[in-house]
Amino acid sequence: MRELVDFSTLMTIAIGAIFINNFVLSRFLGICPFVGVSKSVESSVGMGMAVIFVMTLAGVATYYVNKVLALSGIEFLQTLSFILVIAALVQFVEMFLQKFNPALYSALGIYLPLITTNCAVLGVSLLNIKEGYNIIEVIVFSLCAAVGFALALVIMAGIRERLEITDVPRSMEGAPIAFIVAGILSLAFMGFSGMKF
Amino acid sequence: MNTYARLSLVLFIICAISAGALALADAATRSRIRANEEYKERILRGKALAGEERGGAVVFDPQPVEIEGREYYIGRLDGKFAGTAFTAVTNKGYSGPIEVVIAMDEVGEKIAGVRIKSHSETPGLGANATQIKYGDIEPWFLAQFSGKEAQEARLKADDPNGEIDAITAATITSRAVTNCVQEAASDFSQAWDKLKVRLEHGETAE
Amino acid sequence: MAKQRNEFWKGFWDENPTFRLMLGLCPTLAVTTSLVNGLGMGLATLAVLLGSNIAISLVRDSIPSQIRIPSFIVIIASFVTIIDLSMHAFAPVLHAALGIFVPLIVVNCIILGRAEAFASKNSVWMSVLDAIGMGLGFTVNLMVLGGLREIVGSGQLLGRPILPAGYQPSLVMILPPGAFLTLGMLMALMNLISRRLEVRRAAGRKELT
Repeated sequence: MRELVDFSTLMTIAIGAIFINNFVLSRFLGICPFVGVSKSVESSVGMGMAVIFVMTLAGVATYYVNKVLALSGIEFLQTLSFILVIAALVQFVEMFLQKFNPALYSALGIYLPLITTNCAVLGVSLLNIKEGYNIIEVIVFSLCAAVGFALALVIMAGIRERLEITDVPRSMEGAPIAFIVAGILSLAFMGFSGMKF
Repeated sequence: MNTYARLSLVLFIICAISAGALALADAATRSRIRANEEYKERILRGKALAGEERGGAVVFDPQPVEIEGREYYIGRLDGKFAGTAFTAVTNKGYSGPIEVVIAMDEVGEKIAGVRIKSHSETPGLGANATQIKYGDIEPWFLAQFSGKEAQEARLKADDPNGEIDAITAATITSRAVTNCVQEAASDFSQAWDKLKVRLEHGETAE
Repeated sequence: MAKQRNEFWKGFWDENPTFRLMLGLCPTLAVTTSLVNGLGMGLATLAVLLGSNIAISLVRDSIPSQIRIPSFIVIIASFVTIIDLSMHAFAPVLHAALGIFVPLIVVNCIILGRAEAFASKNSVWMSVLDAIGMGLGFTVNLMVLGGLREIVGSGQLLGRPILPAGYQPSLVMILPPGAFLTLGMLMALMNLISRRLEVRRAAGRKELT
């Protein structure tokens, strides 16, 4: 049996989630916010923080939901219950922040509703189950996957701020050039693959 | 009726109908999905043992023989003992574990064949380990193992006795699979002694 | 009739989900390593879209607007699970190739988008046309992307070599970066074509006056 806490495994999971199999650039999860919210560094940081917060919570919550489903033998409700748990969680976080931390709410608030349909959140929940992680690994993987998402988002926003003032062919303005840049970033991140701990 | 109660009632009805529909869908597909998985396993073992074309003709004893934690499946062709198939896992792959199905021939000496059950290698590079070239029948990389002895199952680049060509630009994957096969095939001789006794003492396992 | 024709064809160009509305990009990029995968994903999405559009336009008057979104999500998730289970049972190879992107159809913005913007406001018949048009538009996009990547990235189409033997496959096209690059190029191409069309139409109008 695998130990609950094995640091070399955790390290591999962490580096894998942030760099090697980056959620955006290699697994293609969370592309919509990646293109939509990466126009300025400021908003991308806000979105990144909100995603880190929600994704870690969602990873843990869905891990236990899945345990309950598996015990009752109704795994076919997995997709349905995961998406509902995520939607409820987002709602809850929004209300909680609004009441107890208005400053944080005003910074993250507008990004929270967008997260429900961010496939990275549902993706991390499904991957946790598929990989058969234990609870510690679930926390590390969810957190690091979200950090990887935020990292890609902020890098992309930094580049796009510069692209705004650059002369690109008219047909390539906006989304097309953003995808080309994402392709080059993804190529750069491929350099991390094959790293072992 | 107050609004909240009405809203929750509607939502509850929708959820109940959905859950009911899904329970039906699950009941309709469950046995088929399980049969698929079992078929996939069996056909993979068959292909490892008898090659791509005759793989489906191999009949395996329903219960595997367990020796030192590894499950050995006894395969028969036309009622005669044809060889043993088992699964080994390596963690030396490029981007995750690789599950390899290995079959040994009927005298327990040579590798009958190798198939890959699951992997997460890079498409176009390591994933070419299972590639069947157009016009070929067998995946060329895995076909190299058929008829080799354990010590020949080494990469040509690693060992002068090696007989296996690596996949272009995917040496790590090639080495992981090859060394996994080599180790498992070498270890097999111990299990074979016990298996042989079981086989001679009556054709059925129990 | 013209309106119906328009509801059907808008998904292919004017409101093309991928290139114009930029919806459902995750599966678009992730599974288009070959033509077959693209086709499979497209048809799975089409099936879910059709089911959810019909169901939602049928019940649209009985759902109070406050719980509209959660109800839609439940309905969509049910159809996704049904498709997921059916694919697992009847197309196991494709199901394995698409992986977690089958359950992730739930969060494909195209489906919730059509539910909210169209099916909740229109008749069943119109919603069917809308779903088929949008779904086929999406499928065609995935097939074009998958086909291009397969040809350039492996020199094959549907597993058969179609380029001369001397062609060195450009592997990067099947790897993740290739997905971004191909999509960016196709978007730019589409912009270019519609701008040309625009210019020509404007010139035509000028001649008339």
